[in-house]
Amino acid sequence: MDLIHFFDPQLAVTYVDVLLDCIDVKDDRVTERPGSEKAARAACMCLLRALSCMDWTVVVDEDMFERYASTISPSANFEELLCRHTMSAIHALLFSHKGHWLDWTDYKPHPTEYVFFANALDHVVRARASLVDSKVPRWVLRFVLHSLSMSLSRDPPPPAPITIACLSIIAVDLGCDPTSERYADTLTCVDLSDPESVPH
Amino acid sequence: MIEDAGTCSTMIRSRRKALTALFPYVVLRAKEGDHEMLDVFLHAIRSSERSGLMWFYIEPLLSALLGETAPFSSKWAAIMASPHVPWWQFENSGQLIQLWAEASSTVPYTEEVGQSVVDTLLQIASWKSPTIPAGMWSWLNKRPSLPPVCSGRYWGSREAVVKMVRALKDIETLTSYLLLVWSEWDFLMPKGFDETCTLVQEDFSGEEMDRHRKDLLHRLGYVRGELERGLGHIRQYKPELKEENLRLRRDQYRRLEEILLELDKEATDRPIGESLILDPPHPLNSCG
Repeated sequence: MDLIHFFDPQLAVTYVDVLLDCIDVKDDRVTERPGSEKAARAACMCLLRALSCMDWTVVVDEDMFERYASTISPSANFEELLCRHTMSAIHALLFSHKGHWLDWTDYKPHPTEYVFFANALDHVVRARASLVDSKVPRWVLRFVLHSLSMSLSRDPPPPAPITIACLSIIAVDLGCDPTSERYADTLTCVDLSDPESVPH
Repeated sequence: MIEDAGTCSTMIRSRRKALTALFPYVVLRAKEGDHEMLDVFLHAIRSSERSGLMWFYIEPLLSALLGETAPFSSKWAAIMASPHVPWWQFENSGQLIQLWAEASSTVPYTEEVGQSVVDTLLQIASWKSPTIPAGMWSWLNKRPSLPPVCSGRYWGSREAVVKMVRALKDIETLTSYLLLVWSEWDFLMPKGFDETCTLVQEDFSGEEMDRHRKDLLHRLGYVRGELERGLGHIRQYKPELKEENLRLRRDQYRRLEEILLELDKEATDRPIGESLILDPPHPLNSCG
């Protein structure tokens, strides 16, 4: 079963609370509290996943957004965080930033985390696809470009679910209907939560 | 994913970034022997504007694809995509051009490869790059047929390129260049046209240039014939073309034909052996 079913979007506010407990913010510089690095990382991943399950056609959970924005300003700097990529992705999604600052060149997480991340982005993109004139943000496409490039330079290549998630994101931006049968068939060929899964 | 790239061109134009992001996967498929996706990809980016693509982020990938140790299929895919790459935007364009040139020499020649290399070469030359390896100009002598929409041919008629090719002092390469650039699908850049008129007059005179003049006149005859087919014909690929654009092309190619016919007449009228006595050695004769 896809991990998405374990993430209730209503828990997003809880994940925000956990995340805020794990970090310090000073002059927009966001750092992990000593000893909270792993918790911050887990909270980030869970929050991103919860966001990916949200209904983006309605207003984003105001309570969750207010709690987040009360501590982290739009101009926050995540450079010093271990989970800076995930945090930056969450930030760009919540503030609808263009994410120019997001640099993927050093993004090389553990395969399981990578699959989780790619899958979450894919779900967000698909969830937002029905919004009027909702193009896939450029920072997401740069993530896709980075990930697909790795399949050419790495030996062994990254897990197949990452490639599938990336292709799915591209398909959405090219205007394919994520609800179409053919599209769904392609995506269900692999278990996106399993890094070892191979497309048929 | 893209079932009919031809009918999707409008949509593709608005989705250029997604298309660029797809490029590494397209190369991966080509590496695995599936070239169909690369064909569709190339078709799609031809119908798009280069400026909206994310090529800037592809620079590191291009280096890897064209590198010495890269497999043949990667080099081939990168070479096929090279006419659509804005080389001048890259930080290390000189180094990349060098890699591209070396990779081109390792890929077996086909008409498609020739088209891509020549198209790219003329584009690179048009922004006055001093980094073009000298050996690359010999690709012009393969004379591949360039497609109707071809940035290399369009920008390749700039004065700087005309001068660059002329400076090679190789009449074969110069003839090949003119045969490639003269086309019903494009006009010649104004300064480039003036420079071309001068070089034709100066470099293609005399009896010994007879064969080259014949080739050039044959090409001009073809181009002028195609232009006579009218606006509708050219608009197949250049929908924005106006009657005055067509007139300019007709005027340019007629003028070049007149110059060559005049040179032909002079060469024919001149008594046999006269050129040997009166003319200094032809500047391009000894080089090529």
